[in-house]
Amino acid sequence: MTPGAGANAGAGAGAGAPADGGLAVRGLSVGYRTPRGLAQVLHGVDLDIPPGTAVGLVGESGSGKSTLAYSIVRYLADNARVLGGTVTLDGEDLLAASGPRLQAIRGSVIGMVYQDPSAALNPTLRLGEQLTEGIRRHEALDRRQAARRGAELLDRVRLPDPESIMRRFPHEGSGGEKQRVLIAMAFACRPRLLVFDEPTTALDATTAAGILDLIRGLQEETGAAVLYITHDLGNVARVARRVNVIYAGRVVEEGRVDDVLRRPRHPYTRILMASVPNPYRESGRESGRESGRRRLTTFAGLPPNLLSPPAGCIFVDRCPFVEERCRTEPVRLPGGTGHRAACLRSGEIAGSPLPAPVEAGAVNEPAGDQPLLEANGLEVRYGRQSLIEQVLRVPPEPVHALTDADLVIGRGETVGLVGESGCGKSTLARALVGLASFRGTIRMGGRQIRGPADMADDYRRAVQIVFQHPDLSLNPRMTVGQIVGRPLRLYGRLSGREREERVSALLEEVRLPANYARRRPHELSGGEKQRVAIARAFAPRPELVICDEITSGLDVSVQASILNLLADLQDELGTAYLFISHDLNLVQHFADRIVVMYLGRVVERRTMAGGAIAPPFHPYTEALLSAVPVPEPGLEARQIRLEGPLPSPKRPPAGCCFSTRCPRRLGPVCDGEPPPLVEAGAGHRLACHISPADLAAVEPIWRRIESEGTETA
Amino acid sequence: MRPAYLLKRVGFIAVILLVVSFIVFAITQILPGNAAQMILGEFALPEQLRALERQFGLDDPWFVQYGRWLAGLVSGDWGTSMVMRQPVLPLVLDALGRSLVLAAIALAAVTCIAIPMGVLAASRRGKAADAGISIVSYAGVSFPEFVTATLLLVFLTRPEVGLFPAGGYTPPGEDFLRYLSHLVLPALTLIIILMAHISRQTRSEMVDALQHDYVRTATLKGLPRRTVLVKHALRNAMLPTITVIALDVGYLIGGIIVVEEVFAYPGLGRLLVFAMQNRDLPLIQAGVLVMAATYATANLAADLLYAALDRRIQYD
Repeated sequence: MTPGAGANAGAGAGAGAPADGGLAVRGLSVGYRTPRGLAQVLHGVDLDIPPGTAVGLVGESGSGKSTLAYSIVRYLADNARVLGGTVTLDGEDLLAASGPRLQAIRGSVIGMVYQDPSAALNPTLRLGEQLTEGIRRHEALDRRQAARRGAELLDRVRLPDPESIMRRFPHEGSGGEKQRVLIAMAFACRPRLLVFDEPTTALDATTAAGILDLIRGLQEETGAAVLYITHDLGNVARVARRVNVIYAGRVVEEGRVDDVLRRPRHPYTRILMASVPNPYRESGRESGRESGRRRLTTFAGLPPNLLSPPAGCIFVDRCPFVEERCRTEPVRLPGGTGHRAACLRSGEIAGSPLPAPVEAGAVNEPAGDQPLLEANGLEVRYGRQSLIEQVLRVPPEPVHALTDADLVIGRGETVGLVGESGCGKSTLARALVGLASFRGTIRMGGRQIRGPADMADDYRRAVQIVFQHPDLSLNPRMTVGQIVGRPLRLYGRLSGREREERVSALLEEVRLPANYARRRPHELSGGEKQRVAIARAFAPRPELVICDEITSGLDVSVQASILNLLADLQDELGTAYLFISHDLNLVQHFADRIVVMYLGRVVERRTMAGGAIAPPFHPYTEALLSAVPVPEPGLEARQIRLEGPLPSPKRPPAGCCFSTRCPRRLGPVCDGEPPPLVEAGAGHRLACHISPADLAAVEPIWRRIESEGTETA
Repeated sequence: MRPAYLLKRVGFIAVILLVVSFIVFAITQILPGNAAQMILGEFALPEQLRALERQFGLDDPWFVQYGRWLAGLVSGDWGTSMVMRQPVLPLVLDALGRSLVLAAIALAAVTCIAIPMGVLAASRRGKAADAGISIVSYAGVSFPEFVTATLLLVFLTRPEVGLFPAGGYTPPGEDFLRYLSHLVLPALTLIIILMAHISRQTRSEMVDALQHDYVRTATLKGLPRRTVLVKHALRNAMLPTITVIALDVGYLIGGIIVVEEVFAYPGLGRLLVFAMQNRDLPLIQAGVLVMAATYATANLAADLLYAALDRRIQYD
């Protein structure tokens, strides 16, 4: 215990910060020594966060945003080298801090919150112990006092019954609860700086929305300086006042969030924003399918090689507005406090539109009226009785993973399946490909299937699946050629040569060079791996491809190129998709029809008419919509926050599955009676006791607001 | 953990022991000759043989004999050693006791040395300390156990050194210091053999644990390195190590025949070898059964410890 350190920290936080206080990063350059030379990941980065301000840092993977964050707390890999620059907090040089001083700073002066709350907590220690051990270290408190402080903190992060939470182990809490505990931990010793490293990326939309509210509230309450790191521009707007956009280790644009979102000046920022599906953009109102599906804007080329970066602008190789001088003249972010971009041409190109993405030529129109696959009353239950339970006659308590699900997928159409974790969307996918045994029937091609055993080769060929994590679903010991060629072996009778040719053709279809056939998965990037998984799924020329959260782990720009690829393949081959995602924006952009699931049941099913969906909504859909961050400046969401925990799928509610958390609950009828599936329009059904007319009359979720102090675009 | 689980596991152990007992019984039945033959020797007259067989019940069908033997086991009558002419039960229990003492000393010492070594190696990964520890522990495991044991004998029991007795055993009640001095060399040999096993396991689990996000959380909470290593990383790294240690317990009870033989230490392994050399069937049966029981119990203990350390594990 070092009571001295605690006293120091307390004194610093108690006295008002000096005028030039807060975090100041000046000219920070960091590199990693690699066998092939020094890879410089930060190039002279400047960043200022005055006390009481929240600043966003937006970038994709490899941009150096995490290196910047962990440079501040001096937690870098062994091969990292600080090449220059300073980091000061309230005037104290953090890069020069001694070991003991650093220990005193970490967790007391600087608090951190991380991406994945489940991984960030020690599975073998109680939450209370993990919360209070830091407090006991930094402030001379005994166990009892620390426990009392811990309970107060949990109360402040709005966790009910703090005492019982403190006694729990991490696995006994939900993701949102764990992130709240970590936030309490970060705020525990009244820090002067808080660093949030993608705190909502691993969480469901409705949970994430609550966490963002909490972060903003606590920041305003405590007056700490906040650095908020994310890859998602939509999130930044909810938390931060100013934003830095970082690309290849350089801040390329900086300004007030509103200015940057409304009028991005750097071509990188503009393309990044355009690559996010945005059904709320005015130009997105027409139907996606009338003239072929609208493609998303993506980056050309590859990120710069960090071992030998270009001499001029870092973005030259991917910039649609590049000129000769961009290649040679050094580019710097101008000083000042206004809206700044590190681009020589940012003034002249402000009015010029981004080049439109290439749309497909021939289009296979979907034929939703000709059903390809029909599933009726699908039920999946997990869990079985152990031997002892059978002997003791303990009644079984299975997990109701999927209850009475109906699904129709037409030829060549895209059905979007949305819902949060635990809603049964992946279970439905697993049942459809025969990975989970089910009750109910699947009809396809005039055949009835009542279980995985009924799935003949022609069904298994026709229905393919692509999984979320290509790292886990591609065998690391096989070459790309073997992976893609496997279904050809299984379902076709091709000679070795013919198969090789087919593999090359398939790789070309997913826009990969043919010589990738000899590589192994670890030699590929995340996006490339997912392309291999897609090529494998398309190899036996399926009629339906199930995409189970296939872009979840990817950067938004890579996601855009994957979605474009899927759209191209559908236009060429007429393949139907079951597109599963937790991201309602994505599904609204991509799907012809949407199915919303909650707690193993389908609660709403509707046809897309282009743009964003409009009322009537199922109350759960409404909550999901309000939680989704929209990257459209000037749109503000009506706040709907779901209270209480997700009910256990072992004991689902007797009436409506959403009744325990529904903000529009009518009364006992919702708890006692399962709601009917009512017609709410053409091709639109929802399971709710409230009449569609009443649901249609709800006030809109999104409201346009005019921000003060900025001229209109 | 539910009591039902404990009950189930104990039940499993009983089933395992039943299967082992059957196999042991079957093997001793298949071997040529029987107890009567062994007692009377090669030149026994057939009538004498027949009479003795009848007396021992060896002419009954095999399942009757098996049932009788099982009933004896349960009621504490484990038969009589044919060679030593003594009841089997105290013979086996005494040897087991001596083996357990040796195993406990070796295991306690090796965990106290090897686990910190593994932690140190992992926290200094790739540095000199890591390399040094890995060389020392590999050297220990690379020598066959009889070489290690003989080397220790040669260097530490020479009269001019005179540190330890060359072998044998003295009951603790007779001369406690001498009793201890007899244990030192066999224990040292076992420590050298097991060191690499446990320290390498700890090292690799620690390296893995140190890469987890919760270690970063703990460090950035401002905890000192020692607390991060021991309280956060080691707690998780110990889980698989426990399983390895449990297997080592099995090895130490009865598996260390060579070591017991070199130091003339009267443990269970040595007793079993003696029984086999002399075809002492009741002794073989009892010895093997006791060894199986120790293995099973050690594994159960490891599982229970595992669950106590990691609350995510729910046995049911």
